[in-house]
Amino acid sequence: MIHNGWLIPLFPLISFLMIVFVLKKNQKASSYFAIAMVLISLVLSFILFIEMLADGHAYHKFVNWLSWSDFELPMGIFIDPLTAVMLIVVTIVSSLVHIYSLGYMHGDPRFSRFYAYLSLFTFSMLGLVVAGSYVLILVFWELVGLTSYLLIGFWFEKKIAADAGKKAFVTTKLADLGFLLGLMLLLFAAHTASIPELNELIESGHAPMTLIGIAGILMFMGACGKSAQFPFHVWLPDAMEGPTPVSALIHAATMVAAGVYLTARMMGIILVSEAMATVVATIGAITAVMAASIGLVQNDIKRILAYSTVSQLGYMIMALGLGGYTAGSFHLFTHAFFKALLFLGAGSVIHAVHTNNIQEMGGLHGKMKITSITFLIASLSIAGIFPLSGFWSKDEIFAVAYDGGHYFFLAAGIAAAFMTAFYMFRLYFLTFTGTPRDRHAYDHAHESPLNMTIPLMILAVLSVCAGWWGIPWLEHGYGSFVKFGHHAHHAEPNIALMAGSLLVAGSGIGFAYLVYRKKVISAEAIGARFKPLYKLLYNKYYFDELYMAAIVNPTYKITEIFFRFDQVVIDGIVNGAAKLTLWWSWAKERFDTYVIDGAVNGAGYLSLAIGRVLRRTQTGQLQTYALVVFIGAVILIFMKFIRI
Amino acid sequence: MGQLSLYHFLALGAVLFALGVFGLLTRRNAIGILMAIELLFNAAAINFVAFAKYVDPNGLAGQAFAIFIITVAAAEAAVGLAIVMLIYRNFRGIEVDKINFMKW
Repeated sequence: MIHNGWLIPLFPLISFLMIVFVLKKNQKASSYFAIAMVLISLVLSFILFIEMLADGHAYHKFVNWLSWSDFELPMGIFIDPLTAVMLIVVTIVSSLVHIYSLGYMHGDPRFSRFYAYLSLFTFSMLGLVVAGSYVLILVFWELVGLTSYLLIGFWFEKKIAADAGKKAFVTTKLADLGFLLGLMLLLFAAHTASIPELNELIESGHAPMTLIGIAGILMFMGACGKSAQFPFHVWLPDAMEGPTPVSALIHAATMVAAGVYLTARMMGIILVSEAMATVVATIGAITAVMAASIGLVQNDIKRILAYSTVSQLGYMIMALGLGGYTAGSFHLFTHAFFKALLFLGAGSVIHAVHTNNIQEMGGLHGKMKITSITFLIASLSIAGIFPLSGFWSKDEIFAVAYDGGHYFFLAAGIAAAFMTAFYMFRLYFLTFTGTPRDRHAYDHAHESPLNMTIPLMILAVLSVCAGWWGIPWLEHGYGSFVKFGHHAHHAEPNIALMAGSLLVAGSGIGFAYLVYRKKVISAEAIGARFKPLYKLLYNKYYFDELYMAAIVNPTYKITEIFFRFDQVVIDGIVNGAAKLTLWWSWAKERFDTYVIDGAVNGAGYLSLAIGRVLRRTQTGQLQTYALVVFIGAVILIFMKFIRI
Repeated sequence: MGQLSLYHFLALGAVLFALGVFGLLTRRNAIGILMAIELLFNAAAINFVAFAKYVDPNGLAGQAFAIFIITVAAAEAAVGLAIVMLIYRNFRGIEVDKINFMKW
């Protein structure tokens, strides 16, 4: 299967084409066909994964796609352990989202189209994962961007959803500009975009490292856009306007994972220079802390989860920047499951109460037991409670920071971890426990159908167990499978660090318990005490307003100017040209009438006039003629003698 | 009174020629015009013969020309009279100032 890895993305593509061209009228057939295809991909991914576990060697196959003079641009696949893990993650989450959507999207007028988009999204992401060259990655990268735009703006009748899709597209496109420039620079500097070749080139050291480093930073900018890293994070919370299963897919497995995946793929390039690695780690740390702090005070259930995603992605990027290839990708792996679970759980809640505002929920545990319990598991996992999967992967990141002596990043990580635990349990307590704050919504709440709860249960199991693969004591664990370079990552299990992180998570949960369950500490009082800070966080550090004022409005102004320019200058030139043509043809018409026709008619008139004069000489009198002849003869004779 | 010289003949020729031209321009009768033309011919013939006698006594070119002129005059008279006949038939008269249908 490893050698036929390109087959895996093919099935969702078939599903997309079939739905669009054949099945779209039949909603049932569309959805079941899409699910069948993604399940085939899932099975194939598992086969590939198992083979890769046994083999462990990277495989790549390239065919020449484009060549001119001495430049060749091969396209192909590159499959290594990271690819295998990503394939598993993407296909599992995508399959579950496909199944979950049966219930969630039930009755939507564009049900078939939704499945077509889901298939295309899955195809793009799988293609991105198996792609063996950065050029091919860019192709799928843009496809991912396109499909996320389509899905975020799926309910485009709502202006806010259409705007969110646009915002996501424009923001990531801005970042993609960096990717494109970086790719061009890379092709210029290294003459190759193929991943294995590039890795070899960098390892050999015979490469223009400075240029490659700059290219790496530019490409990382693209990754920042897709993975919603500071300062491109603004699109992700707005992307919540899409259907909830899409949010789960975007946040867990496809769109945002693409950026982290790319960063992991570029590990060789990032580690070329110390400065670049520091930039990457710093951006990750800033994002982790900033997003977590915004998440503390939000009231929209999906937005809280969105900021939590941004924050967790910051963790991954930070880990990768610190050289923690294993730690970063492992967190991506575990995060996919519990974040998908959180979103699908949130979707289940929204499906039941028809509101996104957690202040209007409460006490739902009794009504929806499965959703509540699975949500609790996911919350514990993301908070980093032993022995759930989030604990192991987060601990791995702390270990990387600690072992490398990066205490600043360690502190940032711990701060974000505390906030994560707090806001997750604030969310949990406000939603599922206590007394219902909106009686009407509560009365209508009910547990979701089985096709929605079964994916929740599967994900709950994965949220608990997936992390066990990376337990540091394990001999052949995740670290020896997904590794950078030739040395397995063997972090010494650090009991003290584990205890510390557990303590931080526990205190975060405890604090949330005191505030929102026991109400010993009043949330309002804290909010009032730190009013400026609260407002700052509530308004998300005013990033949207800042971008509005600094980028969007000036752009509008510029377009306004261009519009005026168009109206006045361009239209003026066009209309002027038309006017000039009119005038010119008028002048030519006059010229024709008076000069050309005048000359022609004039010749006629002249002949007529001359004839009118000369015909007077034709008297018809024979003797007049004779006289003229005689006078002529006399004149000739005189001329003979006078010799004029 | 001396002997006859070339100038006497030339003078006679000139007088005849002048009479011919006068007749040609003034006669209304087509026959008269033909007769005036005859005068012109004969003026020219006298000049030829006179020049032949006084300028080149041994040559015959002058006399030959005179013979030619007489011949041509005869032919001309024949053609001219035929035309006059036709004019008379068509116009009931031979006054040339009346045959001005060729004018503008």
